[in-house]
Amino acid sequence: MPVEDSQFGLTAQPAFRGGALIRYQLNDHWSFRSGAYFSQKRHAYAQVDSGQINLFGQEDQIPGIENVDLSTYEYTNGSVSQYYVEMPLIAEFNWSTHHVFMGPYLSYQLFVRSRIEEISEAPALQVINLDAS
Amino acid sequence: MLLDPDGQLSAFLPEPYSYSFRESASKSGLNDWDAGFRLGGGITVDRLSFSTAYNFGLLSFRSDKASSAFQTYQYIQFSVAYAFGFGLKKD
Repeated sequence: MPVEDSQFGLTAQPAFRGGALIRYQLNDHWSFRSGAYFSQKRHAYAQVDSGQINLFGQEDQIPGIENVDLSTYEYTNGSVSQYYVEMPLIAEFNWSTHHVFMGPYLSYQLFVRSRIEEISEAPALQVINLDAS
Repeated sequence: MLLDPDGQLSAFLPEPYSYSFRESASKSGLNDWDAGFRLGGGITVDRLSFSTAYNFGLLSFRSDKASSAFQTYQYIQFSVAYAFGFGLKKD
């Protein structure tokens, strides 16, 4: 399955993550955290292709054809969810009830779920009846 | 007057409207690995911790780097954690 790159992101995609960490307290303020998460990461894409209907020279026999949109449209909407096992290594600074943290993480993809929706529309053929004029 | 009495013209035309939906579990085109950097902060109330972090992905989620755009996961994460307190010394 090709992974499209048009209009990536479509802004926010909700996802979830859960796991367990172990914290090692270095002193009153500093600690390290590491462990394993099950993490979902998602991206989405949308693509529109357009074309033109070929009526093989029959256009002139359809009254009012000049006012009809003879374009065709193909809309593709997809979303890809990647599921990872994630291992962070986080340094944390604590003071009072507050904490700030930073550090790297490494993730390995376990499995993928992709959803692809395709819609094709030919507006002209929704209003023209070729069986009778 | 019939434009297409025997349906031969219609056979070459697209459907007026069609819809399809499919699902896939293929990993093709996707990178197995992701790595990045996380920066955040929060508060701790008793054993509960509430945090917000920004995750800055460094690796493209696509595996075909030559023909695809380089796009990484960049996201904000809200989390709630509970500290079980294993290994804590009792006073």
